[in-house]
Amino acid sequence: MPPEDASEYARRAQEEFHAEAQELLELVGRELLQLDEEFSQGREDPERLNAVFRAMHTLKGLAGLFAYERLAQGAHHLEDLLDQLRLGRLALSRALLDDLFTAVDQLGRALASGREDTAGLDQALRRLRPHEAERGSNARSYVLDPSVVAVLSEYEEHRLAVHAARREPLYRVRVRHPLATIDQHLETLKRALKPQAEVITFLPAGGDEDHLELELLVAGALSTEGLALALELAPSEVVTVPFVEGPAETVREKPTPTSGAPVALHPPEPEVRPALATVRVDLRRMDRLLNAVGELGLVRGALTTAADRLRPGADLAALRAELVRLERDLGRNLAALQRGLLEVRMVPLGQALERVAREVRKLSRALGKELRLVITGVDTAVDKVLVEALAAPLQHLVRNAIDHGIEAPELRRERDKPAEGTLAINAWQSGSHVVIEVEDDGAGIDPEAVLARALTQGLAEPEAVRGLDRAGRLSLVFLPGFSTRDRVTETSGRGVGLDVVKTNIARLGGMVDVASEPGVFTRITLTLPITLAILPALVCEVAGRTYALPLASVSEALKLHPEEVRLVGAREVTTLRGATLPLCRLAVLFGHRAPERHRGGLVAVVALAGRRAGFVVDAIQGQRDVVIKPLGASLRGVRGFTGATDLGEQRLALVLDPAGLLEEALSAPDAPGGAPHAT
Amino acid sequence: MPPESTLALLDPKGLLTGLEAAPDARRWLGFVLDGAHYALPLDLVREVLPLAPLTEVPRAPERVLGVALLHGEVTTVCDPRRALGLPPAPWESPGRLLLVAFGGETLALRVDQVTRIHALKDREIERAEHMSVDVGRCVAGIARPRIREGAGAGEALVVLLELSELV
Repeated sequence: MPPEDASEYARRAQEEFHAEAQELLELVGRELLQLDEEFSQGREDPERLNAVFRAMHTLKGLAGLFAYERLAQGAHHLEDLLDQLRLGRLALSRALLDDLFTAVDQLGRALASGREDTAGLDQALRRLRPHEAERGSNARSYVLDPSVVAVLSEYEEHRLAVHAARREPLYRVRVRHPLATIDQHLETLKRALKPQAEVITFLPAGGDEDHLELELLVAGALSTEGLALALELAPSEVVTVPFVEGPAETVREKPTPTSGAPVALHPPEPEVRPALATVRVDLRRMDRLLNAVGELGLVRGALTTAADRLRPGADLAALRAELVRLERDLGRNLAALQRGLLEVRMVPLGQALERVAREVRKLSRALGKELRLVITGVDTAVDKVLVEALAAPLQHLVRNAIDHGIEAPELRRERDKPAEGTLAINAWQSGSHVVIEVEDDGAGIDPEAVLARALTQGLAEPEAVRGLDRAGRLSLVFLPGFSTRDRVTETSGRGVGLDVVKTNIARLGGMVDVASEPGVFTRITLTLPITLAILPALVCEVAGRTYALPLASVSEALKLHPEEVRLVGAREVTTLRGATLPLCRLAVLFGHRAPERHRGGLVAVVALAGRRAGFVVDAIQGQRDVVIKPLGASLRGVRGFTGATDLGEQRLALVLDPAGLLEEALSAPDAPGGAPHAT
Repeated sequence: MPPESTLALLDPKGLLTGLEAAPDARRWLGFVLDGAHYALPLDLVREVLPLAPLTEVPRAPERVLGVALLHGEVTTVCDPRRALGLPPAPWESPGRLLLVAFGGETLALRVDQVTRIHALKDREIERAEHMSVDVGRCVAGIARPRIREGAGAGEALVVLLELSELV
């Protein structure tokens, strides 16, 4: 690296350090404030102390990394103190909180001063010392099996003691979860219990091939019934653990573990991780990236050698062969680099589903509906940007399902359904797309009611919708303006805001589909590209223009034989392996040429969400990876494109929007204004 | 001062017409469309760039000529000729792009040629609303600055345009 680059790098690294450290201190400040407020109300959320502790730990590491020694020492000191607090070895007090605030404030000043001016910090840290001498004491305890006590961590014991001191009941319950999604379930469960109760620990208690039975220790200000309700159990399944009466005895005196003692599965002692919203990268991925960079360095060296050899009288044939080989190496390594960087952007879809699960708990309680949430495919990897963008549409769909889909328990019993409704969210990867289904076993949607509503609201022309089949009628719920707050009937009121969901998903290059059987189920399917950044595309030629068609949606390409083209209404169709394939000539759709019945060409078959159409182009130049850049706001209303890409020599090619075009191609070409879809 | 590239792309002679003029004058960037002189407020123009290869966008609004890659961004290029009802410029004939900011977006306007900067006081401008004929919504006014030297010396007629009606 040249020296100017090195100093530039160092400067930027310093800037980043300052920004991160500042952010961490702000977080600490916020959490301390909350802690203070709760403390004055006699409450104490252990998560707050944990968050402050984690942030301080991260700050210590950062400061150490950037050689701010005094800062690192200060943070270390505070981290120790916070650790004592969260383990209950120290009791929180107003005075201690005040001194903590001062110390954090001084840390901020030391950071801002740029130099290591730490006189104020040192003084603040000295004031904390007397607190460290104080120790809390555990006075009361629960009667617990020694084999259970044996596996509790110090942190867990402390939490038990805190609850015991407040004379809050301790419960033992058994729950059963599918192995594949157990982490997800436990997180959901913990969240459902907060803030009244806390899961102290869970111990494996049996299970079968794909289910795990766990015994939970739950403590908190919650009645047996309340806990049973929150965990969706019968009250009889909740066992209350009695208090130890008489002289105080602590759980600390534990016997040596016996061989048969269960082992704590997930010590809830929080893992220490950075509190910042960044993409975390697996080191093995970084190594692969570094390898690719290393190889590129070798290629560069070989290019230099080749350039040196390029002199009068050189063996041009050999040089040429060498250059061809180098070009291939270069391409291979660039591709590896690109793949690696894309991987870095990928995160599990579960991050978006977590928020959805919270929403489900909240809503089903609020609406008095009994609900079972089943989630599969939390590990499906998708673009980080997509995860952020998906949260809102998913929440919307889930709200719809709970509010309008799942019936109240009494009604469900009347309809011979289990009182408890099921809401399933299934995600999986399909090629370079991710498919997410939100399905409920509720009231369903009646296509006739949807049609009637679309007509009475004047959203569709009667002649345009007459020929619509069942699926077509259902898809009218996506019409802009179909959303409304008032419900028409029990079974047709779904579809609130679905046009908004559709627009949001379309913006991400995806599609929304609906399937339903009145009284049985409703299923909304989202199909989205896994990444928005770089994707392989077919470079096509249409009337002398170049377009890029994302390859992920293309199932095959074939030659168009004009003699095999038939007309169905105004639409051209051909036959593909015995099935009818609707055709759409891009040159005509885009107004480059007048309708052309007898021209040949190539057909790119676009298949998405079970629907397909053939797009006729003049030629396919080949496949290449394209970086999509968005079009300006002034072109947002233009249909058919997701962006543009630079094909080199400064010339842009428009990137086609397969989902949008497919919809356009499949909507009736002869019914202007009657197209049941909006983009 | 306009960005360096703006000045560099102006015709070399007579470009500073009135630049040193009275401080109450507003500066306008003059350009040519189909042989006639027009101008836009200079402070709305970020940069003047050479014409870049254009890519047509099917089904775009009529005023949009296409998109071009400018400074690494996909930029919408509008044709003021279309808003003014002038005949289209021959496809990819020589020209310049004026980068303007409008509605939170950076857009480019294709013009035939950039001529000079005019410094005009309010009283030198005949406002469109005071004219007896309807000149269309694109025209903000007309000015007749005196040009002492260089191309088009003498009294020139410059049509001052309303950016919001061109894009």
